[in-house]
Amino acid sequence: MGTLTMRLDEKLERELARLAKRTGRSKSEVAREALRRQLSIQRFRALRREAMPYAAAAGYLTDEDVFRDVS
Amino acid sequence: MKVFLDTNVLASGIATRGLCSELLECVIHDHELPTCQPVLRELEGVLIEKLRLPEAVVAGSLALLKAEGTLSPATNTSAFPAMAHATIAPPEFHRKHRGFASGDVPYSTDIANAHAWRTIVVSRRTNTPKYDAKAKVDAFDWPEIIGSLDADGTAVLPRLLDRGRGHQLPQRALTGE
Repeated sequence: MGTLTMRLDEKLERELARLAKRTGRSKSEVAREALRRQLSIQRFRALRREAMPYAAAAGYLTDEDVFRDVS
Repeated sequence: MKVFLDTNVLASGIATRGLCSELLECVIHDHELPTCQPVLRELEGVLIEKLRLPEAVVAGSLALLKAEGTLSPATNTSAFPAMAHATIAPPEFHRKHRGFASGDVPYSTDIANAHAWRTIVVSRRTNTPKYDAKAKVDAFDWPEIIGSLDADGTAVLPRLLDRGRGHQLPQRALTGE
């Protein structure tokens, strides 16, 4: 497991500490979870940008087009 | 909150415009997205054969979903022959995920009936006359519904029943029974 050291401004540090306390987790755990989710979102958006032109070319532009053919 | 989404919702969320993409992003960002091998296999087929996505995009999509959490194979798919997905999850899944939301009405309802879950049905389909949630859900915003679920899986749907304040919904409140 690697180690990442980050500098946080006071406001962000306070918010992180508050959230960690409220959820009973360490600040590291909260930060790891936030980073993991953000990376997943970026991956998801990148995949969508790649996928949508192909789906559109195949005639699937909206949810309804998929729901019509896929149960 | 664990949110189990059916194949068509996942496929729509990945490759087309509409609420499914907002829903999927909302779940990835704020909740947990358990899925299972049969759904992933079906999704792979849909993405390749129907939506004609390149292999790399399909592989990336499946990897993303697997990273979110994959359930074990079915232990007894004969119990619900018409709804095989209902028995895909092993007993430990049912114990851990007592509340969930699904894009699949029959799946949700059978799971709830079999395991006494509190279940939120988030569906726009009406292919089962017994569990017609479309009329109640269609007008509402999926991401908002999912976003309103609390950590225990109890539904707090302020817009669905009472636009003025939230409600704790009992099991099957949305399934029309």
